[in-house]
Parts: sequence; C-alpha cells; structure tokens
Amino acid sequence: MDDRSEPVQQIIERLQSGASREEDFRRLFDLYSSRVHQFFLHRGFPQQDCLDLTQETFLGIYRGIGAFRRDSRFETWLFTIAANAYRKRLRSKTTGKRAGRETGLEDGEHGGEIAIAAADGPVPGEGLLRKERSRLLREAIEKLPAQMRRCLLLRVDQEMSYREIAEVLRLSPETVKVHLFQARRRLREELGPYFQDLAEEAAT
Amino acid sequence: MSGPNDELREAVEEIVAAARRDAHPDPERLAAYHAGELPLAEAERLQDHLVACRECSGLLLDLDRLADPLFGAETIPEATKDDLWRRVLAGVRREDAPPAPVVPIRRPSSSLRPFQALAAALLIATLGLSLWVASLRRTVGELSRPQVNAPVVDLYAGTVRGETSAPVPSIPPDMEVFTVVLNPAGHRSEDGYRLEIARQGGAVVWNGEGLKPNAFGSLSLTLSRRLLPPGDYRFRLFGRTGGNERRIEEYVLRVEGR
Repeated sequence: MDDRSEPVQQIIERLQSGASREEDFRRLFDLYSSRVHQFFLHRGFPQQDCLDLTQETFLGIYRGIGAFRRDSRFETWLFTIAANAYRKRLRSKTTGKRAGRETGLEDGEHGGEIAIAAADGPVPGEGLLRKERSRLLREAIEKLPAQMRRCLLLRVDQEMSYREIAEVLRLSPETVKVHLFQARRRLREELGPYFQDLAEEAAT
Repeated sequence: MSGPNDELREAVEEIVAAARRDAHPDPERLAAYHAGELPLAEAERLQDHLVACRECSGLLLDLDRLADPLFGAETIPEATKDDLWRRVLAGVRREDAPPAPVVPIRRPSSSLRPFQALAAALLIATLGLSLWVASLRRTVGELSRPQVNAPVVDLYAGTVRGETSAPVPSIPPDMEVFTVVLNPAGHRSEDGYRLEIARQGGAVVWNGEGLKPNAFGSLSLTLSRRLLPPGDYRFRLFGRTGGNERRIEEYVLRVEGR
C-alpha cells in the first residue's frame, strides 16, 4: 500500500462506519472525479455524457461502499463500476470515436472495424504478387511464438508503446522490447530480402 | 506504391480481424486478469482477445491510470465539478431518503390464525352451552310446576302381547309428565332389575338400572314426553339373580301426539 492510498482507505473506513458520510464522500469525489471523467473521455464520449457517467459511477460507489473489502485495491473496484457503466451506456446508444485514434469504439458485439490511416491500400496492377506476399506474411506471423506474436500485433495494430504492451500482457517493458526485436529478426529470416525493412516500425 | 510496412499492417489487420470472434470479457474478469488472479490458460485466452480488441485493451490500460492522481487532472472546470457534486449529492440524498410510508393492506397474520381459530371454537362452544343451559332450565321449570291430574299408568304383562282385546294403555296429549307402574306377574325376589324402553321399531331410547320394587312387588318410574315423544313403546323388564340376567316381562305403552 502506497502513501496515496492510505487516506483513501481511511475515508472508506469512515464511510463504512456511517459517520459523516456526505463529508467523506465529497473527499472521495474530489480525489477521483477527474480520473473517472477522463476514463469516460478516453472511451470517446462527449463531455455531457462523461459528466452523466461520472455521476452514475459515484452513485454506484455510494451504493456499494458498504460491501467494499478494504483489503482490495480501491481503484480496481472503481474500475469495475465505471467500466460496467460504460458497457451499459454502449448497449443503449452509439458513441463517438476515441479521440486521437482511428479505431471505432463499438460496432456490434466484437468491436469496431480497424482503419489504419497510414495504409494507402492496394495499388492497382500489383494483383496476385501482393496477395501472395500478404499470405506469406500472415503465415510467418502465425508461426511466431504466442507472446512474441501478441507483442507484434499490439505494436503494429494498436500502435502501443512498450510500456502499454507490457501492461496489457503483464510483462516487463524489457521483455516486450526483446520480443519485438526477435519478431523482426524471424520475419526477415522467413521472408527474405524484400522484407528487409519489415518491422522496423514495429521495433522502434 | 505501398511498402513492406504497409503490407505488414494489412497482414496484421487480417489476423486481428480473424481473431476477433469471442465476446468481450466483463470488467470483473479484466480486473481479475490485471490482478494476476486468472489461471494461465484463461489468462492466455484473454490476452488473445486483448490483442484483437482495442476496446478491452484500452479499458485495461485505464485501470492503472485510475490510480494516477494526474490522470484527467483539470479536465473538469471547477464550476462544472461543483455542479457535478451537487448532482451526485442529490442522488445520494435520494438514496438515503426514507421510503414513502406505505399503508399496509391489513391481512390476518399467519401467527394469529391458530388463536383466532381457538377463539372462534370457544365462542361456538359457549353459545352451544348457553342454549343447552337455557333448555335445561326450561325443562327444570316445567318439571317444577305442579301438574293437575298427572296420570299414573299401570302396565301389566297381558297387555303386551296383544292377545287380549284390552286396549293399549296410553298417555293423553296434554300430559307432559306421567308415572308408569310396572306390575310383574307373581312375586319374585330378584337381586336387581333393569329396564329397557324401546320404540316400536326396536330402537332403544332408554336403558337403566336401580329400580326397586315396592311392598307389592311393583316398580314405578316417572317419565316425560321429552324422553318419549308420541309413538308406541315397549318396556322390557329384566331381573338379575346370582349374576344371571333374564327377561321378566314386556309391556307396551302409547304416547299420543298433541
């Protein structure tokens, strides 16, 4: 437990004991309202929706605070309440796109379509040769070890940093860096000279 | 013309699109994964989903960010924040408000039902007892009143068989109470007597012991119309000697209707 979480635990303890509930709940609100609001901004909601969802999240906290186990991490519990509010809202309305990303937020149960702005699309005339190279690439990527492949996909498709990939896959950033280096080397070996420049982007 | 990296992106996109098949994990499962609480196989399946799903990987990244005090700092103007707090507080106060009083629908409590049944039974028993006592008092009152010319009917054995032309002894309609004298033929010495009064059809209406003969060997008893409503009756007299009982005589009596 770090220094920051100590006062949070004390606030929660007082809230659970029933003493000065409004006052302590205001403290909790002051500590986390901006973060919760930012959480919803990241999901691509407009400002007013973010305020509504933040309000809904804090009411959820108030309702459930009595059952919160203080040996758990408050932010994890807060996350589940906010994420459930988000999913509930998604089911009821279409949202905007995540700021700064080309990825659609939600388009059905399996997520939105991916659009890579940097990709120019196929050039007419390349035809069969391009299709063949694409097939070879897919096969080479599929052959990579699972964790190495996941690192590559997150790097190329979701444009994540080493640190973000490490967080998502529960690895260290150093391990991620090694995985990406190895992935580039293997693809070069597998695919030959045309792909010499391949995965430079992935490894940087 | 597109280069190798564009082709890599396209290939990755195709792989990811093909992998995007399973449903989103719920937030509790994401939190469990983040805490390292999922079994390895399940964690790997979830990782494959995260690779193919920006939404879920984005949620997971923000889980850690919620612990960062700088995350979202100053994204809400102070005035807006105060307004948001007022909205939250109003919701909290609604949650805390006692529910509106509800007028309960009065229903018999199940715990009271046995007592109520007992009370009803006692009431019925009391009413029945009261009626019986009133009837008894009326009977006692009637019996206590002096009656003019209360009949005394002598019964002899010859009258029962109907073999003679003698009329059947009867009780007139206006007589409520009457005395019957049984006259057995001859004079016997019995240890005890028992009398059985039966309707003409055979149903016994009274059966009793304790009769004692007078000095002339006759036995008398006083009867009421309540015991003997209009109809013909047979009086069977039994004598007991040394533990053996035998029928001594049988008489007949008619109670006339009013």
